[in-house]
Amino acid sequence: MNERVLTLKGVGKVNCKQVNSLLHEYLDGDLTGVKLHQLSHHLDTCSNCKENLVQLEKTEALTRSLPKSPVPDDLSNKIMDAIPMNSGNRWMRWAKQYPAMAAAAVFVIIMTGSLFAINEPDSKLIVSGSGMEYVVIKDNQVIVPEGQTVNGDLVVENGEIIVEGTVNGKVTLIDSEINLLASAEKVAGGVTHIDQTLDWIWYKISGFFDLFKKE
Amino acid sequence: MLKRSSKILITLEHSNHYAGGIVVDSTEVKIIKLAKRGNHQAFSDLVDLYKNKIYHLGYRMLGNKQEAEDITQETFLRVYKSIHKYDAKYKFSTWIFRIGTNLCIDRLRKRKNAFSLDAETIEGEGIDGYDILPSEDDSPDQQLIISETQRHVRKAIDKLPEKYKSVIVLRYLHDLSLQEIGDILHMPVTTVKTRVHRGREYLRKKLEHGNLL
Ligand SMILES: [Zn+2]
Repeated sequence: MNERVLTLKGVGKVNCKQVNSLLHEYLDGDLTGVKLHQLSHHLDTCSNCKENLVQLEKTEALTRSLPKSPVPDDLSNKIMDAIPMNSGNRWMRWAKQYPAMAAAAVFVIIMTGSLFAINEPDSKLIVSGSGMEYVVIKDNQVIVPEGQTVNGDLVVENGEIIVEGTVNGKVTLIDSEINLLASAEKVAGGVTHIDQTLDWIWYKISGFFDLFKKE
Repeated sequence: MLKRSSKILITLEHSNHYAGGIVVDSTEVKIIKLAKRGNHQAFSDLVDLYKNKIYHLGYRMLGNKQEAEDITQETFLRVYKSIHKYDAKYKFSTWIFRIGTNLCIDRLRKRKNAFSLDAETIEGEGIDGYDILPSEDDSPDQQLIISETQRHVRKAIDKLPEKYKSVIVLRYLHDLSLQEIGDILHMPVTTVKTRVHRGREYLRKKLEHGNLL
């Protein structure tokens, strides 16, 4: 009924060019009501436009069915290697650029820190080492999670270290405790305890010289 | 806040940490939250969730393996550097697709500029810049057995002008809605539709030309 009125007024008829845009709307799932009727009427009588629709539908199907290329196996590693893990940490960036300056700064921090620490029982947890990527810090605990391997030494000050995984280097504890889960062989390089004495200061000073040797 | 360190002292004051494998409710939202706080493991999980999608996007947009890898790396580097700016009100996939798509578009534009310069020097030789492009370069062991038809379709997509290519790739290879594509490309849905229509016409003509329809 409606249609007829439209047709009579000449609004219902569409030409092939207009149909083309209707075809695309149809493919997008946007075509309803009067426009849908207009399209189907036109297609009933125009083989050209009908062929167009078939072609467009085939084009869509072929495009969708294109197989995805295999993703390289090492893609995750490549991505993670490109991530600067400490880009957010200005101090670390600076330290990498100026290792000698950083070493001097660390020395000052250590010496200042030590003066306080001797008299201050509840000092902050400090962790240092060469294999820190895989350790987890929680409150005053340093955790080497199960299945993780620290390829280097760890120094823990004013805290507790829980070794669930493996440490290939040695662990030095300064006013700290160690908690080895299951097997005590998990620290390959052995465990050293240091208390708040002169030993400790000597340890730090020698550590400071180590910094220069190794950088 | 996991720190990588080589003989450098770090003082840690934060206590909210996450280790690989401890996450019980590993929904994407939680992973993103942790990654936002700088958690290494969470970020690596995020990589595993999205790397394939971004790689496929890159492969389809740029047409070769090397550049697909490059833009996947670049995308995650950008995600890493700007994840603090990500607003959790919006879908993460939209955000990461936006970064990836923009990187692809940049490359396509640079390529086009490079070729128009080349065109001046080799003027008159009738070389279609796209033909010099490194195309499908899968090593034999990775080669997919694809039909002649599929090779044609791939070529047709490769040759799509950049502004149609991005919508076609997002629409048909990633099966995204027109609205999502609009969000990714920062454009109104009507514009997306126009581009899908034109891209579809373009492909139809190419495929018809190759007697595939
Ligand atoms: Zn017609």
